[in-house]
Amino acid sequence: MATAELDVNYVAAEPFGQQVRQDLAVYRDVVAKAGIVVQ
Amino acid sequence: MHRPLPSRPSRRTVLREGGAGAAALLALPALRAQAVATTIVAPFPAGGTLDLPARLLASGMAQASGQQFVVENIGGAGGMLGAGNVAKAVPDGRRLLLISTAQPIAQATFRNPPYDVATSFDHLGMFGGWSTVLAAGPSAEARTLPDLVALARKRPGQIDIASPGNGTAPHLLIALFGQRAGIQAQHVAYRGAAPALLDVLGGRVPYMATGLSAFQPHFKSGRMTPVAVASAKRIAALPDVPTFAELFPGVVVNVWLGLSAPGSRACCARWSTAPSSAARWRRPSST
Repeated sequence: MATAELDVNYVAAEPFGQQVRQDLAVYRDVVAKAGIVVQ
Repeated sequence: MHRPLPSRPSRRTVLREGGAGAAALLALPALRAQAVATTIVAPFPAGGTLDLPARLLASGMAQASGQQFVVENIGGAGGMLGAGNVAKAVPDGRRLLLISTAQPIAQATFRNPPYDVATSFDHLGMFGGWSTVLAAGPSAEARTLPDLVALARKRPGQIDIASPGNGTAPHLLIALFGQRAGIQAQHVAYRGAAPALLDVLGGRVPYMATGLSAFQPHFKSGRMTPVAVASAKRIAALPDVPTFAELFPGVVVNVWLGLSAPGSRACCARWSTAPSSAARWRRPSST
């Protein structure tokens, strides 16, 4: 495998939860615009 | 909103760094108090990309706490089955989810997901991740991001970009890139990165997006060229390669890994006042 490294800079609960929700909003927007549906 | 993340981890790196992530999580005193095994559900099959981080996280947490942590693989439906299983679990702090970018992506792409990442979980923290990269193969005409965009604008719908599959982070990256850049790239979905790489290296598809580690041997050999990184900032492994966001703000798609418990904020606020509850999980400060 590569020498790539995992970033373990811990993101605490609150900012992590915010990122999860922000990512969900971004992905929903992308998926809606692109018409992506996975079944 | 996004932290810059490097590439997909090597086993050695995960072994080394996973312990640090586990130690951070074990700043949680309640974990040390647990006497029964805590299950970490890895929502993908054993042996998959996300299985190793789950097992090493469980091992590190067990070593640091003296308690038992076991991994249960519940794969299927893009990670939805395992996530749905945890979402419906008794919120006693003994059944956790190795959550990743796959869960919000699956929620956005599948109909009727059995969970809502915004409300079904108490997100305990993120402990790592890696960056997604767009790379040019031997048949690519353009090898820089501006050149690729210019080429795609001349030939709408004719520039093929491979990904490991529908509904993956690279797939979302290709779609987001196309939307923000105003181009129509053609997504070519494969069943995993390996077969996609074969076609890219064979010249049948000019571009591909996936985690960096899949590309690194081919960058070193010169057979492939990194075009852009989907992190918020440039990554140490590819310091001369621009991010998508430098040209198209907001085009950031990283793969992150975290740990989540079933339940909502209201649920966990109650836990924090219940001394006998296993949900005395206390959120660690950033390290």
